[in-house]
Amino acid sequence: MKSRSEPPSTSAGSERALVVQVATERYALALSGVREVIPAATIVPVPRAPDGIAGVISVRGVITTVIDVARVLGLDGSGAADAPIVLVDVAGEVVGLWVTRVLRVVHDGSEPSSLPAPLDPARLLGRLATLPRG
Amino acid sequence: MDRDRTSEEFFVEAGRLVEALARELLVLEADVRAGVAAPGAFDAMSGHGRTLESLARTFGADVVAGLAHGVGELLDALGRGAVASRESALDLLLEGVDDLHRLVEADSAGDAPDVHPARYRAAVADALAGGSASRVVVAPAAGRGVGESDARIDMHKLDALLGLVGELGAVEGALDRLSERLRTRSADTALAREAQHVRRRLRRGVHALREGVLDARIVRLDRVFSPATLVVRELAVEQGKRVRLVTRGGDVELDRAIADGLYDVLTELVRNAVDHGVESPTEREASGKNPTATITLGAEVGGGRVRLRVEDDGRGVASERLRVLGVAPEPLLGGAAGDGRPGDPATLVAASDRATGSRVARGGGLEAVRDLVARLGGGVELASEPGVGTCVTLSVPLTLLRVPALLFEVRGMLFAISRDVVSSVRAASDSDVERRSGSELIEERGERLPLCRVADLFSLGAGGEASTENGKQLLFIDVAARRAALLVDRIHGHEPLLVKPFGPSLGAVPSLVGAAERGADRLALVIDPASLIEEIAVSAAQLGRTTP
Repeated sequence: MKSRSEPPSTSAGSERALVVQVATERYALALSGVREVIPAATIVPVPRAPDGIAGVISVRGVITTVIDVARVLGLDGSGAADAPIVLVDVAGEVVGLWVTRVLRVVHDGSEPSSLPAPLDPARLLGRLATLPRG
Repeated sequence: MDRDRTSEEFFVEAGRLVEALARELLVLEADVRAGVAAPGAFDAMSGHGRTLESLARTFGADVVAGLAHGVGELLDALGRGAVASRESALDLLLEGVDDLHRLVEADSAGDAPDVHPARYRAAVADALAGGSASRVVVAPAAGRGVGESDARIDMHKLDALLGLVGELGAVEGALDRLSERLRTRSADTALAREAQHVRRRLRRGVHALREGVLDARIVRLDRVFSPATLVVRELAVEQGKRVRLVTRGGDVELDRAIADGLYDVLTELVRNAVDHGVESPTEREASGKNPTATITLGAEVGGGRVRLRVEDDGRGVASERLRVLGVAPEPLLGGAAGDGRPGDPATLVAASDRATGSRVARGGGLEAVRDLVARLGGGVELASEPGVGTCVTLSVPLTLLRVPALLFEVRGMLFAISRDVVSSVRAASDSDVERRSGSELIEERGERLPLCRVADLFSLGAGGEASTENGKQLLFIDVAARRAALLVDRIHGHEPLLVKPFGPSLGAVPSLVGAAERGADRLALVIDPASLIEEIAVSAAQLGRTTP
C-alpha cells in the first residue's frame, strides 16, 4: 500500500475533544466536528447497507446515517438500545456515531498522557467502504 | 491487495475530477476576467469540488480533501460574487487546481509533494475577507434567455425550513387530538368549537408555509443546460470540431436537488459526445454528413419524471465495444427510462455488473453518470449506431418530495412505494403461487406475473412464517408496462409522504430511494419502483436460464 497523506494534525491534540466510550474502549472525538449529542433514538435498519451502518434516523427532518462505531472498529458490544448518538460533520454531511457512552470534554494539554486515542469520523467512513454490504 | 485496487480507483476518479475542474476553469477564466460569467457556471465546478472532497475523505486522502475544500469555498464565493478581487481569486483558484493536479499525480506515484491545505485555506479566507467589495457580474450566456434572477437560497436552509414545517405539522396533529378530546369529554361545546377553529387556522398556515418552501425549491432546467452549452462550445473550439448545440425543454421546472445533481451528469455527457462522438469536419464530409455536428439536449416531462436526452449525430459506438468498456447499452437501470426489455442480454450484463458492484475504470465517465443518476432515483439508457450517432436518455424524478405513497409492513419494518405504480392489492393465499423452474409466478387478470417476496429481497429474516402466504397481502405494481407482484405482511393504507434521500455516506442502496417520516417518530423506507422492477425481471430471467 502506498503511503497515504496524513492530515495536518487535526486530531485531538490541538483542540478540545469529546471523550466517548465504544464497547470498553475510550476515544477522543475532535470537538470542532461534533454537532450535538442526541439521546438514544429508534434507528431504522437499512437493508443492503454496508455492515457497519446501524441504519438511519431523522434529525429534524434530515435522514441521517448512523454508524455502529463498535462494529466498524471490530469491537464487541454494539447494540445497546439506550446508547447515545453523536452527530458529527464529515465532508459536509452530518453523520450519527452510535457509541456506548459519552464521557466528558477534555481540554488541550490538560492531561496529554491520559488522552485516549483519537477517533476520526472521516476514517470511519472510509473503513465502511471496505465492509461487505448486508 | 484489495486496498490497492481501491486506491487506484480513487486516483482514477480523483484525476478525472481534477481534470474536469481544470478544464472548466479554462473555459471560464476569460469570461470571469471579462466579468461575464454565465449563471450556474461556478456551480458545475463547485459540484466537482464537493465530489472530489468527499471522495478524498472517504479514502482518507486528507490533504487532497483539505485542498478541495478550499477550492470549493472559493468557487462558492465566486458564484455569489463575494470575493474581494476577481483577479486574485482566479489566480488562487488556478493555484489550487494546479496543486490538486500535482497531488493526485504524485500520490498515485507514491510520494508526497509539498502542499499545505491549511495554508491554502488561510489564503482563501483572506480572499473572501473583502466580502462584496466587487461582485462578479453574472450575465446570461450569449443568445440564450436565462434571464431569471437567481436568488441563491441555500438548499440546507430550505431543508431546515422544511423540517420545521414538518414539526409544525406534528404540533397540528397533537392539537387535533386535543381538540377531539375536548369535544368528546367536555360539556363546554363553545370551547371545543373554538379549539377546532384554531386548529383549522393552524393547518391552513402550515399548508401554505409548506407550499411556499417547496416552491422555493423549484428551478428551471436552463440552469443545468447553460454550463453544458459552455463546455460544448469550448471543447469544440479546442478540438477543431464544428458543433451546433440545440436545447429543448429548458423551461421544464424541477426540484432544485435534482437539478443540482444533474450538473455533473449533463456536463459529462456532452463532453463525452464532443470528445468521442463528434468527428472532425473533414471526416464528416468524407462520410457524407454535414460538417457541423448537432448535439441535442432535450427534456420532456411525463408521469412525475423528466426524461433528458443527450443525442449526437457523430460516429456512434458498436454495442460490443460498450460491453468491453463495462457499460452495457440500453436499459441500464431501468424500466422507467423507457420500454425496457427484460429478456435483453444487455440488461443482464448491466444488472450483474451492478450486483457485484464491480467498477470498470475505463468506462468511468458513463459509469459515474449511471451512479449519479441512480442516486437521484433515476435510470440511464444508451442507444448507439455506428456511423449514425449516440443517444443517452436519463429519466429522473421531478422531485424527491411529496409522493402519494402506499405504506406496507414486512417483518415489522415499514416500507413505502409510490401509489402511481400500484395497480391493485389483494389478500394472498397458498394456492396462488405457481412455481415454475425455480421462479414463482402469480396469476392476475389472466397474466402470469413474477412474484417478489419483499422479505427475501431485503434479507429480512424468515421469522418462522415464510412457509405460508396465507394472511399476507399481494401488491401488484406496474412500472412502465412491466408488472410484478410483491408479497408483503400487511398494508397500512396510503398517504402523501415527503421522501428524502439517504446521506452520501450510505451510498446507493439498490431498490431503495430514501426514507420518509411518518408521524412523529417513525421512518418508512421508500422503494424505487424502477430499480425494483428491474431487479425482479433480472432475477426471474436468471432463474429461467439456469434451470432448463
